Amino acid sequence: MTAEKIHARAMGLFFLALLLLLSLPGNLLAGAALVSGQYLSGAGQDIQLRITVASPSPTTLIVIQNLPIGTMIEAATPSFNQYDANKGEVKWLLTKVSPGSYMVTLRLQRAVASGAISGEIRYKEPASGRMINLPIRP
Amino acid sequence: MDSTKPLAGGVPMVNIDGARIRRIREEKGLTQLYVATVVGVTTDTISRWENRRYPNIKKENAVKLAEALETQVADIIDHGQPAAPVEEPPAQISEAVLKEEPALQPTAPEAPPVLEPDAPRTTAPPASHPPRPRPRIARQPVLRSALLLLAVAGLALFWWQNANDGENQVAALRTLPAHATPGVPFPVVIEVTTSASSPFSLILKETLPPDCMPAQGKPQFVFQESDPQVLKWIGKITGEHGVYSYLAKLRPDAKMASVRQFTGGVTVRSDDNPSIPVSGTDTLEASPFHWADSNSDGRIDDEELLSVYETYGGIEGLHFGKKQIEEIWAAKGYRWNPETRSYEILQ
Repeated sequence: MTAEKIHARAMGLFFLALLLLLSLPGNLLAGAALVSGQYLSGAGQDIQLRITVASPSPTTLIVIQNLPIGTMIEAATPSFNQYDANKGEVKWLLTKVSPGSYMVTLRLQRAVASGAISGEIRYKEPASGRMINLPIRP
Repeated sequence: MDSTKPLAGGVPMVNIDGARIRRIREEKGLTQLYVATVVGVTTDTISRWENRRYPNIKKENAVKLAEALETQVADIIDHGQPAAPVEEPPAQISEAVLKEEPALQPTAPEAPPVLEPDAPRTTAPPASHPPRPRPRIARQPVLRSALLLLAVAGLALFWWQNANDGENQVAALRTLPAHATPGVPFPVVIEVTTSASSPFSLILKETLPPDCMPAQGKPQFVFQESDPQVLKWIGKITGEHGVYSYLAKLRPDAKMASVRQFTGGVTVRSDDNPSIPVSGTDTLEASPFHWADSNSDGRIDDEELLSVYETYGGIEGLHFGKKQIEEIWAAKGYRWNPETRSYEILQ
């Protein structure tokens, strides 16, 4: 094969790759949207957080719920793995995650005001191994 | 007819059918190197077996040979002949003698078969064959040149495709913690990736450091040697990659802060390349810190926990101590107690 043909083939592959890259959805290019979180209820006595996982999904998620310091928890679904009342930080470890929706709920002893809570989802991006910290606001 | 013949020493021997062995090997696209590696002998020995120089071999080797050929022992035994009086010489002696004897040099994998499956069992010299009529094509220089050109072009195309395919056909990557506490199991994962489109067989060999003991394999490995420990997997890659994992632990009396070396290689059945080295991490240090605590700060943080699950969590049945790792993650920290040889979890 001549150098010209090799160059021609290389150029062809380059444009093909460019075309494929351009045809990808924007959110995939940005590395986002693999995991997203949305508060269905972000105030009051019941806190509900919906987590949506797309493909290719990370295998494990750590979900963090920040509450006002000293908040007492009456119930949690699923059960949390850590609760540091001094920091108001609740943590869940969700393993064997697959694409789909997950619900994390908390029932608090006292109602909290809107804007007093926040959340975060941590995971490793499967393709790159990069640590992602995704903040969530009600 | 029973082809098994015990030797005076009590070792069962069998008569093998060399031509059939060669036919099965070639039909399955296996190289002599691949078969030799699985059986644990040299390519010289495989060549001799196929050429019926030593048709009477140990039954144990016949079983391994059948395994390498992905067939049954009965398929490679010569049922039509009584046990031959010739006995297989001890492997090491025969290797040494044969290397000095030109008539018994090893047969290259691409050497022509000695016997065709249905051909009569004869060893008549080539000179006894009737002379072949000279092809008509030889008298036509133009046509011959055109065919030669075509053959060269085809060969060049074949070489080009193979060269491109072979560039990154198989690669093996080891993931290993940077450190581990003596006596505490740690996981090792070797991922074999390929760009080949069709399934192929491989042999993966992993050599552990001298004071490191294997505990569990997924899939289960085969021990080959014990000092040092050499683990072996014989597998088939059907997709883009295969994952081979195992648990190992340093001996409890291993000296802290000393570094161990892991080595490994992959032999692909259709490749004459002796071995593709396993790349990735290959050293592990004896340390009082848990292997999941990668920055050795006495706690397992979120990123370390996620790394453990992303790297090792997907391997079903590999018991690397998830529960204890989660307990340490949920707690404030941990410390190694050398007297009890266990981690104390700090709440």
